[in-house]
Amino acid sequence: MNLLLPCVYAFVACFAYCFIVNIRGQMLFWAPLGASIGWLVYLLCGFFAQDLLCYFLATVVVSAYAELMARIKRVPATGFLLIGIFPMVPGGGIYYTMKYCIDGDTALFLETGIHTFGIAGCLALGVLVVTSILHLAHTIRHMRQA
Amino acid sequence: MDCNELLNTATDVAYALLESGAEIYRVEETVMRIYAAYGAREGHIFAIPTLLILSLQDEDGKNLTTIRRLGNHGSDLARVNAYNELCRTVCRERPPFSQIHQELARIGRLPHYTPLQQIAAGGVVAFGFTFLFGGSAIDALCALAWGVLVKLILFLLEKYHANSFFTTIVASFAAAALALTGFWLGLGENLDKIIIGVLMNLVPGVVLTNVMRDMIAGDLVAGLTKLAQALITATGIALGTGVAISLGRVILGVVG
Repeated sequence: MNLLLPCVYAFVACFAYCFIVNIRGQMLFWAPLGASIGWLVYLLCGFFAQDLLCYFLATVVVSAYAELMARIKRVPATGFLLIGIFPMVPGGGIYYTMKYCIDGDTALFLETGIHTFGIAGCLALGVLVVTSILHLAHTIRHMRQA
Repeated sequence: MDCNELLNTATDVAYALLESGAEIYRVEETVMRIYAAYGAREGHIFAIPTLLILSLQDEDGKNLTTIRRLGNHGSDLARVNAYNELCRTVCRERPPFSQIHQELARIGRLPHYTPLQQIAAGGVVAFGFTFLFGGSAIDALCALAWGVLVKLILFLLEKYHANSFFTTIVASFAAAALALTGFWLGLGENLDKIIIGVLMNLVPGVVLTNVMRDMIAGDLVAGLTKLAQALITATGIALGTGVAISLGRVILGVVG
């Protein structure tokens, strides 16, 4: 239950966010599902890995899911990726960074700020790895055929 | 083949894609494919989030160029998908240009979610994320209410074309101020969870994803432009919330 409930919450929140970026039809189910899977991976990784690594691994899974669904549904991967990553966007990081700044706690402020940037970096790296590998595979296949 | 007509059509398609928030490489690739499908000799495109430059050389070696500016634009995945599908059909079947324009117009008329639906969605986003980040049921219900109000404020500001930095500051100020006042009145248990939940409506998640995709595709100028936008939004959120929390401490004595 400790793992399942958060995934349901992520699904609900991301389902609602679909209405804001005008996602319609079947994707209303498949895009938030990616967010749930991503969050599940994030939580599972938390048992053995350090925080930033969790974000990275979860993003890798979300990107792979997005690329897979894009090929199955024949639509751009962007929608799946966008919604899938959304729960991991460091909204809390921004908030706590600012809060420690106001508190005048410089050490915590810097630490949280850098951590927030770290999360953003991990998300970028996760997407980068999957997209680049797929691109490489695609190019190699084309060169073989030619 | 009428090169001018081809250039105009390609520009319209590119404009439509870019305006719906498609990635730069998708816009550029689409145009190159359309050029190739209609047998253009030499054609180029340069796109950044706010500008399109397309050029094309006709049979006599005469050069045609067009520039089109874009204002601020959001993301509309339903349209990106539809335009993407259209481009596939165009490259496969090479329909007459008038038909492409008809299709573009049809996709342009596809529905948006109504403002009411979007405002409600804003509330549910706040509700879900408050739960996700460890808030209680009461916290989530408070977030639902504040989320709806914040989304309403966003809509009003966007309706009157307030600039996006100012909009973010005001909306995040409202988010924190509402949550603080509610907390002071006894609504909610974890102030930080409520505020973060509501703030998820404002975080630059969409822009951040686009930054990554543009940067990975090698469109550094476009990526940097959007990165600046993401950082400005994040700063706006911090400023707006910061002011509200500082004032909350002075006026209400609530330490969040």
